[in-house]
Amino acid sequence: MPDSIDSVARLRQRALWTRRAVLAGLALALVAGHALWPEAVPLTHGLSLALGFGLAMWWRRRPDRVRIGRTHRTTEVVVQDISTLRQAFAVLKQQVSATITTSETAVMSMMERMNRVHYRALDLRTRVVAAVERSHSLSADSLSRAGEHGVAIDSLAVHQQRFEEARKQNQDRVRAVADQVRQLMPLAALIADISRQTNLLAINASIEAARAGREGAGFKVVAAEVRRLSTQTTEAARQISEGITAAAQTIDEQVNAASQIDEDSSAHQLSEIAQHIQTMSATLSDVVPYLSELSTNMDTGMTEVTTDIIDTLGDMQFQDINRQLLEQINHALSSLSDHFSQLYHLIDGEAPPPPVMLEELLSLWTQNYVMHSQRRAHAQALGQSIPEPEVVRVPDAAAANSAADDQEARGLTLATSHGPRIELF
Amino acid sequence: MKTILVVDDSVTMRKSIQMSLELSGFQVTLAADGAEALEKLQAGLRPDMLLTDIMMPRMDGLSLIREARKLLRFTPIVALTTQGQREMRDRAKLAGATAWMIKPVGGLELARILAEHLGVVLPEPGQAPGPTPNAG
Repeated sequence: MPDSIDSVARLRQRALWTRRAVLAGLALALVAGHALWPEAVPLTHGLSLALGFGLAMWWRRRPDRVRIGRTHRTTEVVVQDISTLRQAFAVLKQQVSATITTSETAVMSMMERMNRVHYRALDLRTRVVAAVERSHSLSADSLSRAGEHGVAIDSLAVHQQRFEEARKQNQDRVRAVADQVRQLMPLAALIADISRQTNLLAINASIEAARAGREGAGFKVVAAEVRRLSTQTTEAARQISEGITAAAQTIDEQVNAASQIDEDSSAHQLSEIAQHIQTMSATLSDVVPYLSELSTNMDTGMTEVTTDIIDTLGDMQFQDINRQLLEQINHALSSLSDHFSQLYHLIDGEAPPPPVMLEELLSLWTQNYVMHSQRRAHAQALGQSIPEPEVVRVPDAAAANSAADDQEARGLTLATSHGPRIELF
Repeated sequence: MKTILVVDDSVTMRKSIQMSLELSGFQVTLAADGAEALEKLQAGLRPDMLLTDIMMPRMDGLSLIREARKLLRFTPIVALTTQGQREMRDRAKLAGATAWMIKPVGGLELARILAEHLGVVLPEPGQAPGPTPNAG
């Protein structure tokens, strides 16, 4: 089709220039004839012919607008729309460029955010690891101290046990003393009995002294004195008895009080403290492996987070591929714009037909396609059969294969692979 | 720490590769096209690897590979591009490239392949500090 249009245009151009050459040659011949034979060949003939040629040239330079449709109005509408198409393509190109810029900005922002996420995670891990190490150190220190405290408590318990034994021995001794004191009570009674008998004896002596009369006066004084002594002795015996009772009672009270203390003995409390220390040590022993596990989990989590971030960054390379796809669309829009500009000039008669017809231009676009999705979209739009994706496998690289599977799943299979995706030369 | 000179005209590609590689334990220097990369090499930059796109303004990847090979005789030069044509690969190989990779190459996959190509062992992900984030 383009060849036929080109050949018709070329034939029209050749015929035009042939006519121009004949007319110019004739005008020159008339002017030359007038110079040689002025009478036979008037100058006006040559000048008229030259003027006619000039007018013809001017006329041919005027746009020879191709008529489209049945009326000039149709031609005007088509020409006007084709002339506006360049602006329409410019708008579309601008929109595509804006889309590239927007996606680029968004991807950059996402990458920066991921970077910050990584830094915060790294900072958090550093803090947790430091806290774990500190806790580890504190736990070890506490365990050591707990051990020392345990030993001290054990030592205290031994001392307390000995003290308790000594105290009980003392209590027993005190009880023995109390018993000994109580054993003095019969002596007081004996003194009181002696006193009473002495009193009776003094009374009898007084009676006998009274009988003796004057001779018994001295004896009477002695008997009175003995009786007074007897009374004092009775009083002393009573006081001794009361003193013994009070002393024994006081000793009993002290011993009973000491026995009461025995029930809440320090040894018992020490035993409880030792038990608490053992419990604390056991708890701390449980904490140490937990802290180690926490540290390991933190490292594992950090590795997973970083792996995900790195892989996501790799996925963001698709923005660059999309950018290239959009740039190809921009390029296609430019070629369409140029094509319609050429059509516009063709209709206006100012230029030959475009060097490439639109159908050929469409097929030229496929040469730049990188993705299978591009080829598929192209074929679908034109109602052609959809080409099979050309997936290239790397025989000994499982990772590369899985990556190729990923791409296939996302419809981003490469369209023009002519070798492995990753090739070490 | 191995240094990789990354050359790509796409700012998102540069950033994506930079972050992926730095998080994987590499040090990264960036250039926006072949001409800028060549200027850096001529100024004395000696990376352990050159990773370059092919289609770029000012100086394309093939020209960069050709010129860089004169300065970096034994340094691995890897092309990372959307182009897959055999003819283009052959030209790159002839110019001095040592590997050809077609985008997209996942972040960890890219780091592992480059590490293997360089003969280095990478730390576990999450151990490297990564790039410094911008404020905000």
